[in-house]
Amino acid sequence: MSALKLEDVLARADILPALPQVVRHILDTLRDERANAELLAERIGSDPAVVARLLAAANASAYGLAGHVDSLRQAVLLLGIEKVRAITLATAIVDRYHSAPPFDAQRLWLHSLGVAVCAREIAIHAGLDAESAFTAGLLHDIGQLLLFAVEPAAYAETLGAKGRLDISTVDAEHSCLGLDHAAVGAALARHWSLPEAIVLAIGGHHAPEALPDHELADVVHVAEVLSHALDLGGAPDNLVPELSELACARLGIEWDEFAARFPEIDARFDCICLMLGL
Amino acid sequence: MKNRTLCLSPWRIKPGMILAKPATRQDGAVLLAAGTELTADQLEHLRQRGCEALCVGMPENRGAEEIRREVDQVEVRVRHLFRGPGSAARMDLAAAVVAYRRQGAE
Repeated sequence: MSALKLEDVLARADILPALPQVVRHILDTLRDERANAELLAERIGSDPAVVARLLAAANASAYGLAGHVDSLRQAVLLLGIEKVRAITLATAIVDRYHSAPPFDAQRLWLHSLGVAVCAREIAIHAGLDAESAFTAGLLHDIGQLLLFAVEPAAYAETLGAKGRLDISTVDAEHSCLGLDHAAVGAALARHWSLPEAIVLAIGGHHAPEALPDHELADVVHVAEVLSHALDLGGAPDNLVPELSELACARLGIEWDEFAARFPEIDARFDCICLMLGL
Repeated sequence: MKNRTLCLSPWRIKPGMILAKPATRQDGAVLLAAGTELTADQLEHLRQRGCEALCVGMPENRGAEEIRREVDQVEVRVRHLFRGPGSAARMDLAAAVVAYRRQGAE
């Protein structure tokens, strides 16, 4: 097929549901130190899927109280604001964006959660904002969903080529479509008016060296590679992509030292999958 | 009987298991010492304090042959994940992941 044009793909962005309001609220208050659990609980209250998930997580986490956490306020107090944000973001996004075969949205979200968990640990290591990193990790592959929604046959062919030739998704996209999901995802994030740092991180996660010292793009790039390396989500055809030495250096990552965080990353990924029922 | 150490999410850990390493917060502060036999209340407390990984001792029920087979399997999987050429940074990461997975399987 002829190459896709970014503006044509973006012109059909409304084929995907709009980003839920609760996600927008969380993104708006990530850096707001006054944002508190009560205000968040107030916003979450209007989304029954998120409330149900938070109550389930709170009941599962409280042995003594199991089955007795029945208010959102109690659940938020038990889980803490950081976990509530993570569960809310993941539930609101994962439950909203589905896909038909051959695109495996469940697999995409497992991978995205893995990248989000890795991004969080890398951000902490580098002294950067952990919550922005988690969010950027969760949304980094959103461009794949839009590409499949807009051009299902061409994207199915792209996925076929990826498997047949054992190449990365980005290489398959360049060869079959003439553009990649990182560029599409960044354009979609900008269309959704997401913070510019998250737009740049989505756009640069496969080629952070093209951006002059953009920390969040470095974080999501390294997190993407690490999540493949730790096999988070465990796709049978998993292949660790190329890793930018410059991004590692800019984040101060030495792998023999950073490896001390691997058990925590594995456990955190397991924890969030359990809480989300994935 | 010989013990092996497993690092798990506190959600996977049951009361009665014994900490093989201290339980720490993200800032490194120690919440419970190694050797503590965990109670339900302590587990709940650790989870609320944001502790998301605990190392516990488990009885080693595997024979030498089974351990060797598991070590071989994890090494084969990591080599498969890192197939193809890559940068020095990617090779360093591969070495760190092999060492981590081998340690987990042993």
